[in-house]
Amino acid sequence: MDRKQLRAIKDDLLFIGPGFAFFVGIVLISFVLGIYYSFTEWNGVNKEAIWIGIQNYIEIFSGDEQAGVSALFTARFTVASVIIANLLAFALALALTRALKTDKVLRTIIFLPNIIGGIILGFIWRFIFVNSFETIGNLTGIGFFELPWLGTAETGFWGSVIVFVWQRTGYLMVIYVAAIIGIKDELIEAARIDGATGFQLLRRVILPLTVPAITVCLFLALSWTTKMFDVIYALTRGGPFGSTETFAMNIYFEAFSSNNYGLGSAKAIVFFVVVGIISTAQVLITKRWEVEE
Amino acid sequence: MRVKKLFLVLVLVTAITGLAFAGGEPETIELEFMHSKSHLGEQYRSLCDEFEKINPNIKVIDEVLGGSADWQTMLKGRFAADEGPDVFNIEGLAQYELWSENIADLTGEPFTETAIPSALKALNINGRQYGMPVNFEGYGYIYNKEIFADAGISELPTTHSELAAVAQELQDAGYTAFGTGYATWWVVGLHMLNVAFAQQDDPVQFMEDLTAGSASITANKVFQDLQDLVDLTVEYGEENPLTTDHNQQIQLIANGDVAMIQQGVWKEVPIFKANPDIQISLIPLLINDDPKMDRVPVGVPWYFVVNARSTPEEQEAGKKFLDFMANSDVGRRYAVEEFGFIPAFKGISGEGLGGVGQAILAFAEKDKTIPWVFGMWPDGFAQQDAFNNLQAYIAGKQSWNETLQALDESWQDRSK
Repeated sequence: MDRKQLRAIKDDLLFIGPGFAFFVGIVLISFVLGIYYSFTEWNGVNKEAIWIGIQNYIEIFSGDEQAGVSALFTARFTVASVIIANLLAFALALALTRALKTDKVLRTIIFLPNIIGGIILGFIWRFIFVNSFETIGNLTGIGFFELPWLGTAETGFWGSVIVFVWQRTGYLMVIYVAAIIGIKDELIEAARIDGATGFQLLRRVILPLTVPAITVCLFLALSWTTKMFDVIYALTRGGPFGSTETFAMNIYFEAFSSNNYGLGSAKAIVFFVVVGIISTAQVLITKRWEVEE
Repeated sequence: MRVKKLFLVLVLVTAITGLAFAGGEPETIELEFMHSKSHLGEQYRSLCDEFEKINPNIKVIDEVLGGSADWQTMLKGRFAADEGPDVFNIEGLAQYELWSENIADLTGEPFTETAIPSALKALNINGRQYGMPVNFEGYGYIYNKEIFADAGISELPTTHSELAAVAQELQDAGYTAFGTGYATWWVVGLHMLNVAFAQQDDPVQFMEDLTAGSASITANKVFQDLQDLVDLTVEYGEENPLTTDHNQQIQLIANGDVAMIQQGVWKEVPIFKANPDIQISLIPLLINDDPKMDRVPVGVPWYFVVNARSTPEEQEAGKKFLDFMANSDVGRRYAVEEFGFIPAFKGISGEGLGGVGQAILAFAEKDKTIPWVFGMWPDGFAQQDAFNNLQAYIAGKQSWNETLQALDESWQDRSK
């Protein structure tokens, strides 16, 4: 091995090493341990975990009703939130890339909810839904505000979607804004000269050229929503009657409040595989839509 | 140079924090004390200061895990990292079983002599004592005396029919009778359900029979009758019972919006904080017309335990601290005056307690109490299944019979 090679390895280590060490220490080791615990019966405290083979996996797929409920909720929540947040983010990005005087200020404002922590945000919105909405409803008599917010399965579901969209749209918007700004002016000008209407411009020029951003945004939104925990934990804690319990919360409750750490780990592994498959499929599909300028 | 300095600081910090573990300095013992009474954080700190004055060689590091934080999960994390505190609190038998490998034997400690015997019972296992009771707590319907008087209610209800009549009278006088708090899991899944368990002739036997499969919740009369109480509170309760949590209950009663809330003595401090002039007292949860319903659930919510994995010196210091809390004049004064506790130790007067605490003491003196038995329920029964199913009933998603059947199933599943 000559000097140059050695140096290259040294540089690699310097740049990748620290990050990799943290990844191994915090993610990889826990993950491998999680796989181990998923084959055991353990309450999370005792020194000894008892090896029970695939018993936990059998239990997951044989009649854990609440796990089914929370999986279904997570799926519905993911579909609704990913679509609404992305459509809204794209629309906002289109609007805020026009030469508006206040576009920078508006972008900042719309981005702001992202910097509030999930638990705090959940509590704030809980207050808004339960107290503020009720007051507004009583004063104005508008039906939307008079609904028993977070008190029924439907309002719990839409409440969760509203909070997610409010929190994350700004982030997605920033990515779309960057993509739209990145489209060469000549292309748009040329389309205009050829007589393209606003809709045609959007459909034939802007959309195809922002597909890379769409790939990224869909991926991000998917991974946020499928793994949703903190905001909804603070907002509804899964209630009423477990109807807004996400799968991540189901895992947490299984491991830490029912003290079945092994079963919780097994659920987490199943969850990991499912989310992995969905995310990979999404990236592969949207990659195919991408075009060259 | 700068790097060297930084290194020096690092070494110093490590040395200082490492002292306790290395045991390099035997004269000072660091006692890690963890409790989950978040609203008493400051008061506990000053109690620790008092303890340090008498025991200059012990330094108490107090830490609060609790309130809305999930303290049990955090405690598990500390133990997983082998950094469990020396003294911490648990909630009775089921949690003793969870933590048993880490809990030291406290048999023969002075507090076992001075505590009220019934308070010791839950953590007395095969004749060995594993935890020190912190206090007694009781719950029921906290009611606003002025609203009751204004609605012309002179006699307190002692049966379900009388409670229903009171609710009607309150409504006729223009008041909302109940602030239910059914959005909070422990209000509905733990405390309300506990009454149906504790009103059994022999609750412990009943639970053992449930586990063995020779008794059932669905076929039990008290559980069947519980439906009437739930229906009553929902009918005469605030508008959206499933969105009202325990914090909103406090607002509701403190503002005079409702006449009663299902809560316990632990909420007295926040209620008085929100409305210092309010006159409150307590009546039991009345499930049916059986005269024995006129009893209040009283239990020991917390036990302090000593970490069996700590060094012998730390364990000794921990026991000393427990003795200080239970038997010193300062500790006894703090219990009632600073913490507002109903004392779990003999010879402490309950004077200075609020209206709810006084009412509970009065029930206790007449021997009209039922136990808290949820410490013996299977893990997750109350917090997940009972809560979800009772909420589903309140929302009209399932019948009462289906609800009780779900409870039976859950008990079977979870006690395996």
